[in-house]
Amino acid sequence: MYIITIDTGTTNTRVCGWQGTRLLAEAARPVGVRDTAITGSTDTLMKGVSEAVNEVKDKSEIPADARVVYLSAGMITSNVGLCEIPHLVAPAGLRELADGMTAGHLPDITGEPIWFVPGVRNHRNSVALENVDQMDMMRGEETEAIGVLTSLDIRGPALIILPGSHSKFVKIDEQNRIEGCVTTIGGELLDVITRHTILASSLQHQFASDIDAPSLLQGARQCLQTGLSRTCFSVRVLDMFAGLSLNQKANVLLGAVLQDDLQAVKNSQAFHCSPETHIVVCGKDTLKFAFATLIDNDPWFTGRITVAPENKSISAQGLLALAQRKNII
Amino acid sequence: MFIVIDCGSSTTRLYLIEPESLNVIDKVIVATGVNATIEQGSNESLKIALTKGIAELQQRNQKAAEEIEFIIASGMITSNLGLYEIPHREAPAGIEQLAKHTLRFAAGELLPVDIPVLLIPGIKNKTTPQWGELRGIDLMRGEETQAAGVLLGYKPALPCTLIELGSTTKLIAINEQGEIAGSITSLSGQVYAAILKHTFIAASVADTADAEQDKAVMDAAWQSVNDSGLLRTILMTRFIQFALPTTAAQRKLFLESAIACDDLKLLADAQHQGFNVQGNIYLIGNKERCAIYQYIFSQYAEGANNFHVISDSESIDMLAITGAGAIARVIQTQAS
Repeated sequence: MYIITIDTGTTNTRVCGWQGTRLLAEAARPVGVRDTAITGSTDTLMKGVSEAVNEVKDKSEIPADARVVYLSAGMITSNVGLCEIPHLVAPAGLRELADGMTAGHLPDITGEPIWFVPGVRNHRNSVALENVDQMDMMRGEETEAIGVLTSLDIRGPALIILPGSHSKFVKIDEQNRIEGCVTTIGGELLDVITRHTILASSLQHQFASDIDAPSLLQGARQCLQTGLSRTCFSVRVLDMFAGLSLNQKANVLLGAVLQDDLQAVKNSQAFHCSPETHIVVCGKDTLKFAFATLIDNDPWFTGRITVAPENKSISAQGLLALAQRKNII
Repeated sequence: MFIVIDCGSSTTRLYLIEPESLNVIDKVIVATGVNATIEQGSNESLKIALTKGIAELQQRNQKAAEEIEFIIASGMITSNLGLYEIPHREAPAGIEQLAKHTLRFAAGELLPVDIPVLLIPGIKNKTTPQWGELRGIDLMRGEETQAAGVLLGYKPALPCTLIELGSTTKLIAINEQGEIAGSITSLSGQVYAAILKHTFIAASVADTADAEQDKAVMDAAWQSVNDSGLLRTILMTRFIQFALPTTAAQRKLFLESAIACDDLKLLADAQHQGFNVQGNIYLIGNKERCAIYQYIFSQYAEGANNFHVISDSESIDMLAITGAGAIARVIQTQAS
């Protein structure tokens, strides 16, 4: 059996072709729901996804008469995606997400049905200013979380950290269900501070390339003591008066940003994360090891830390696990 | 009469001043600061812009060079990107020390004008730069002259604290002797501007006037920053748009309050540095921003009760003018 997995985010779409669990081919396009939000039309997104699917089918040399199952997750199910599906309410695990998968028809992409995985939102009936902090949601990360749980054989309770333009912290309960999530603007703010403030000249628009633990921890410590904006200025001062390398200065800023991120976890009203919770850090190497270093050096965290190997197909693995559970592959 | 120059990163202000009253006879704002030196690799365009500004003041007011006693300048003009780099003086420093270390250049020496130029040095904290004392390092160029302006113009009870809200937030501690004890700076103004210009949060607060003071919104921002950090709170600005019946103005207030809450730690840090911040607090900057800082600091910073706000542009202009005028007077007294 052939399977096509489609993962659409805010700015990128990644499509993979599979035969069973064997990856045959992949293709990506720089299209996402951002294009719909900007243009008010799904044309760009539809065209980009369709192109990527056709490319993968060609590369995978899928016979014309072969049965192909299409699976999809991410922002493609949002109101600016291609097939809107309401969020499930947490807690939601493998069973609930598989049950919630919905077949949609997008003839511009394929004549076959495409199975979409719903997003998950935190359980809150009514939102007021006092409890708005408990509110959060995800589209795509629930599937990545399932991919992490199945590929690494993780048992909850656990906290999965998925760094990106937004840092997403997904809490897994004792029954291996998604208990809730909190999101921060960490990655995006790191980007704008690095490229669009006076630090652009101090850091030459560069992010940390390798982890420099002393610098990273210094940034984190100072952020705790004096705040993020003050620590940003300290990076400027370091540039003017200390002989630090570019990477060291970038590590100070990275440490400060991620330290502020971690505060969202410690005091979260959206879910309960105790100090002994097993932490699973995913994502690209620099961010992943930076989070792991900070948590390892933070006396608040006492639980096990698992650093997941870099895996570009984590969403696809979640999709495959969900499709198996739903008995569609 | 004399000319005061307040040179910043992107803008330079030049004032023609009547010496006795410190009345502003005329003012020229040139859209050139030391950033031009970064862009062009030389300070030539800054030099040209300042020369033109001085000429404009002279021509418009029909003043010959010999009628202008001196030009006194402060700010980034003394940085390595300015016209002449002067090392920061170490705090504490009062008006006397600033005057003592102000550099005098003869007519034609620094600028191609037939008027002598005085450059006021910046000030840095007294600390030994090292990893463990990173938070203690701070410096200013230009704000020391404004601080002198507050001391002369407002005669505050001492000690007192100045908080200048611009592209950076700069807390300046004034000690019991009326000297600048030190400063603590954050990049909050630039971070806020970058959020508005370069992230999707802008869409949640766009095209809106400033909100009325809404204590519930400001309290919620404080609670969120306190519980969940600044980065989650910034994102909440977006979530609120879809979860709560709020106006764009309220969301803008929420975002600005969150930034102010992050700056709240500056006061605690100032105390950690040994600065006395128990006296009156002078907030200097945009009126709405000052109001947010006043509320957040009065509610959530221990001992911060008495606030004075300096927010109209004329009063803010007068700080650098009064400060520079006072320093010039001391120099003249010392010379005589």
